[in-house]
Amino acid sequence: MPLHVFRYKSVQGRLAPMITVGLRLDETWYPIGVYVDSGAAYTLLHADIARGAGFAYRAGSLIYLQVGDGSFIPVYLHDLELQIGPERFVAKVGFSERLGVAFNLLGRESIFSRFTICFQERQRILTFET
Amino acid sequence: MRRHEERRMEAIVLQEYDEWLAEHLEELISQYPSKVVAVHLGQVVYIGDSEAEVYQWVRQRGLTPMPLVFRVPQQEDLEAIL
Repeated sequence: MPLHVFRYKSVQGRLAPMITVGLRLDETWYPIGVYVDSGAAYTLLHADIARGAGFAYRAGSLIYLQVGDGSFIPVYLHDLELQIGPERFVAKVGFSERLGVAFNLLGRESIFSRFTICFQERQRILTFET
Repeated sequence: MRRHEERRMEAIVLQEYDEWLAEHLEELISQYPSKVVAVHLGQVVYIGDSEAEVYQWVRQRGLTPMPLVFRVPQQEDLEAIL
């Protein structure tokens, strides 16, 4: 079983489960940093990434997702290619102009069913197993 | 076969960016909080206020491989995320 290993990112001793993944927009692959978030239903990215890449993100399916303060944010959902390690696959990816956190989030849909993900803080690594 | 090799190359690039972030995130947070940076070949090559601005710069330069464009969090962002 292929196992892909990522180091936790550490800031002043605080560990963050952030990894670098590939995202294909139109014909171009973009490396992007994401925070692995088992509490997020979808992979959610700042809309400014799509704007910067010239990708028509507003052509996606508009849904509203509830966030921590109880409010709803608009999200434009797309089926896009992602790459984690050498694995490429199509995933539901949403873009929002009102993400409200500094990070892009790698959520459960299309990801947690594909990989067995282990958060190993003691070893300071995350592993993705297919 | 060629497609397989292409994926391996991409995977190496992603891994290099990920390792670079693991080594330098703390430094980025202290130097460029809330900024968006482009990282290429182990160096910060551009600092901007938005991904749109940084990608525009990247496109003009035609850099390969594609730089990692990264929104630098503030220290408190890491403390506050649920």
